[in-house]
Amino acid sequence: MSDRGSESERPDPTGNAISPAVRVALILIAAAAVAGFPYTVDGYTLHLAILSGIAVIAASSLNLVMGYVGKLSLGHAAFYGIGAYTSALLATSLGVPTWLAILAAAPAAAIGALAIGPIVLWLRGAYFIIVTLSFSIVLQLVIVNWVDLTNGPMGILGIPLPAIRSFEFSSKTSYFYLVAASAALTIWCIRRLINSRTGRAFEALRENENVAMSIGVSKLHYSLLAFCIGAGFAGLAGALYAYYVSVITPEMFGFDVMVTMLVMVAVGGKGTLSGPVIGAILVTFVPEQLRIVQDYRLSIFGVALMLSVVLMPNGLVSLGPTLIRHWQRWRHS
Amino acid sequence: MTDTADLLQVKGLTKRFGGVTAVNAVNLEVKQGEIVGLIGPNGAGKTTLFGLVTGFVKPSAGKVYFRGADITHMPPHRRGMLGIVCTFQKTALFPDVTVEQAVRMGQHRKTSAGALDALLGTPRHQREEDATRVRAAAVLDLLGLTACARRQAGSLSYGQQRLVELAIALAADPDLLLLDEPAAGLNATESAELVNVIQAVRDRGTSVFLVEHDMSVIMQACDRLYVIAFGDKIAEGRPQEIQENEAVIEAYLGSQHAAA
Repeated sequence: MSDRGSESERPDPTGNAISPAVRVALILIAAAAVAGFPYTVDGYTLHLAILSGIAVIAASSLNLVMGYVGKLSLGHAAFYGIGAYTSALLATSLGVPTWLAILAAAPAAAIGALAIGPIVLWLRGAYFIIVTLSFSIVLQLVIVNWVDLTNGPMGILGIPLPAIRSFEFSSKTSYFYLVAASAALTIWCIRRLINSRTGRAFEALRENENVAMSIGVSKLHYSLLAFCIGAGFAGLAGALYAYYVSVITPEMFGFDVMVTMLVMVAVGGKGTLSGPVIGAILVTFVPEQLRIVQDYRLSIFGVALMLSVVLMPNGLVSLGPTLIRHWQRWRHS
Repeated sequence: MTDTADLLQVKGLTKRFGGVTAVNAVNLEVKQGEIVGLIGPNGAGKTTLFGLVTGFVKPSAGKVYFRGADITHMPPHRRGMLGIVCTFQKTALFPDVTVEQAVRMGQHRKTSAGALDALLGTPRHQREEDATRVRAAAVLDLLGLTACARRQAGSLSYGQQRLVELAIALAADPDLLLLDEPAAGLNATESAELVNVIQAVRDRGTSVFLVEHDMSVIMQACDRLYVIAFGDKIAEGRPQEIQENEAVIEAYLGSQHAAA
């Protein structure tokens, strides 16, 4: 790999590419911060950190479809739910080892996407949105009514702790590391994918379908690929959630879950790697910090979300470059 | 049946919209290394005929051959992979990415790494990442866009955006480049540059088929012209021949000419 090849794969909007040495340093600092995190916070903060780690995976997976291919799928929560139910049922009903059951969630959700994708992906705009939403509603109804398999509205209880051989992820600290590692793996995979021929084909479809087709990009092939990979990671997130809370209900397929994911991506910044990460952490933590205002909590949060989307349509990640630009202008004037 | 010297061959191509025949049994050829123009008055069916060749419009009758193979029913992206790449009449590029990224995106058919190559960082992936950067720089250089490489494509001036569209298409290294009114909205200097670029593209081995209103571009750039009016092909020949063709003059100037 030449120097050229290793750097500036996706130039940031300010044109200041980070040098490899700085990048390695930043990654090491981030890793150290994550490793030390459980020992510096209380149990409740750690709990929120685990939930936001799971949300990072889910939001990043939605972003792959919504931010990079430009298809607004409202059926994404279904893949999250499929992952949760598959992994929970494999362990509780079939006695599959828990680590294997969690890993199986990803292909299970991806297969779901492969089945539904060819039916919905040729639809444009509002039709795609409505049909994907219907898909998750239908699936939720199936989960509610197929009581023999899913225990219906009661959900699945007593999902065991995940374990690898004799090591159980019984403490919050160990589960935090599991989730952090999974989130890092997810972001690493998506990053590699985005900075490649495949990622460029995704973006070509988002930017202009006709031009994309004229240069040879198959709309069905690449939108289906993103749909399946996104579903796979959503499934993994669902499984990690199921094993963390140990109880899952059909509400995992619900509109609330979907909207939360959507807000995370939109507030953080769609079509960027860091946007969904920032969005997922903020949307998990901020409502909790607002508990001091009690009943007004969600109203205040709602207004803050509206303001952030109106004032920063490209998400919070666009704030950095904008501030730098203003600062440079101020300095030169 | 088909002459192997013909890169593109269109036979009896017809498109009807309801009762209207937009393109009526048109035959045309583009040979290897040629620049061929398609002209005609407004509403003559030029854009429909163009769409039939690119695959975005489905024909009512007739055949399209590329290198002797029947591609009449092939979808646009497969034609793209074969080497038939087009630009569009309205500005159509990748607006929210940098110019360099847009031109790298254009190299889809010249590369082959899959998602797994990217995840595993295989030598093929690495090689293509480097190659697309090198090629992007070369294409941007050809079109004089090097200075804008890091800028967002959609933030450029109209004339530059048209060049970026062309850059995306050229990045695909097409065998046949189809241009739909590439000079629309360009000033005289930009049009003259466009003629140079089109000829440079041909000199590098790409045949060009263009629909254009700007007669100076057509007359300077093209080796051969087809003229259509009301869906019918009314003339073909070298630019000088077309300029003197009675049927063409009548179709274009009609009564105005008769009065003069």
